[in-house]
Amino acid sequence: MTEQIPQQGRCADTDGELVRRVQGGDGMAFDLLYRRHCHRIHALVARFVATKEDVEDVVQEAFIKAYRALPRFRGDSAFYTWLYRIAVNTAKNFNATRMRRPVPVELDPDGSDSPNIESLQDSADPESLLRRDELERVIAAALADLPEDLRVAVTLREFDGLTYGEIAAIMECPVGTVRSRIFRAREAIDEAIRPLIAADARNRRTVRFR
Amino acid sequence: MSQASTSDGVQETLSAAMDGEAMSDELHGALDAASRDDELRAKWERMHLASAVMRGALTTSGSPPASAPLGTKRGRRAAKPSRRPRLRLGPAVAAVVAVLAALTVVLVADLVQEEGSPNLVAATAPAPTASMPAAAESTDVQPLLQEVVELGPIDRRRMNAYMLQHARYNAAAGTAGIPLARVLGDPPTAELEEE
Repeated sequence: MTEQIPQQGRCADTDGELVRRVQGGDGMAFDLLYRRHCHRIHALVARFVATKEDVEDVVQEAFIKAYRALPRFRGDSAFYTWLYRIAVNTAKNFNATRMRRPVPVELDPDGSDSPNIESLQDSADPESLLRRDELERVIAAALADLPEDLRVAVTLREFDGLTYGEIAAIMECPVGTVRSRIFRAREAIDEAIRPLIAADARNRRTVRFR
Repeated sequence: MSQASTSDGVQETLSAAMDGEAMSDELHGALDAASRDDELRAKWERMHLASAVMRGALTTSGSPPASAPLGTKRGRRAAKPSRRPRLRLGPAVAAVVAVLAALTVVLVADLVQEEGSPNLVAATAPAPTASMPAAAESTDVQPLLQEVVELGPIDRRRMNAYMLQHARYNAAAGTAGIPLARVLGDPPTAELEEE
């Protein structure tokens, strides 16, 4: 049995850690992976598949495929890149079986931290658009209400994609302070969007049980 | 939610883990806590959702969120027009286009001289030369050019007729472009067949 080397002081690969847990039999770790990536995968699939119901089916199928294949995932590529490919292939297969013409897109999972999912208007239904618009509005308002140091920290992270170290250099404060500010900003945003998400979840349940 | 999982430290670690900035030793404990706590997992998911919205991954219009500072990298990226799928023509196609451009020059010059209208030469000949890829001047192109020139009599007639038509049109319209795509793609028409 090999001894585990302590890795104190080094940033961890969150996905890598969760993948190792799943491979070790921790099913709950997959739930965390799902929650971490489901929104981006949902947006990705919506570029290929027309209706909301079909998108949800394809996303579910993609995650099931990923779960089944995860024991064989060796980590040669990043987990999200691997998941991205599974989702795209699942969506294409779905379209092929439905004899639909797939939407041609340029695949570039590594091109940025989000794979160019900027346009969902072609496939999203009005209800989804309204929800997203509302979400954007609430988040923008929450950001505007933040104290300046929190707003700057979270903005540099989310909009500019800077690392904590880079933000610390810009804000002339320790990395730990940046981390704390980003967390507090996210907490405030979460407070703002929680009622919206809860209401949305209630509406979805109502629609499903009709 | 347990006291341990609700502690700011655990949640802060999970927030840092979203950005790949959590330390290895603390990440284990935070993930353990999240695995045991539904509310904490739900919160983590909401934070990811908000992050995706801010990063523009879920926007509906392709523009950055209202709060995106103008001039930021992400704002600029979101403001860029979406990439469209590109037709990736290989070097072979480029070579054929170059050859046809070269051929066009030769044919048009010949035809126009036969017509006894030197003005047309002036109007048409320089344009394809200007837009011709450098490869067209290479000696490697010569065998390909030879193949293209050795068209059958009907094809040659069609090509000649088409190029003559186009030369006349260019002279009349004052334009100089050679629509190579039409040369390649036009089906034979009755009018051309008759010639």
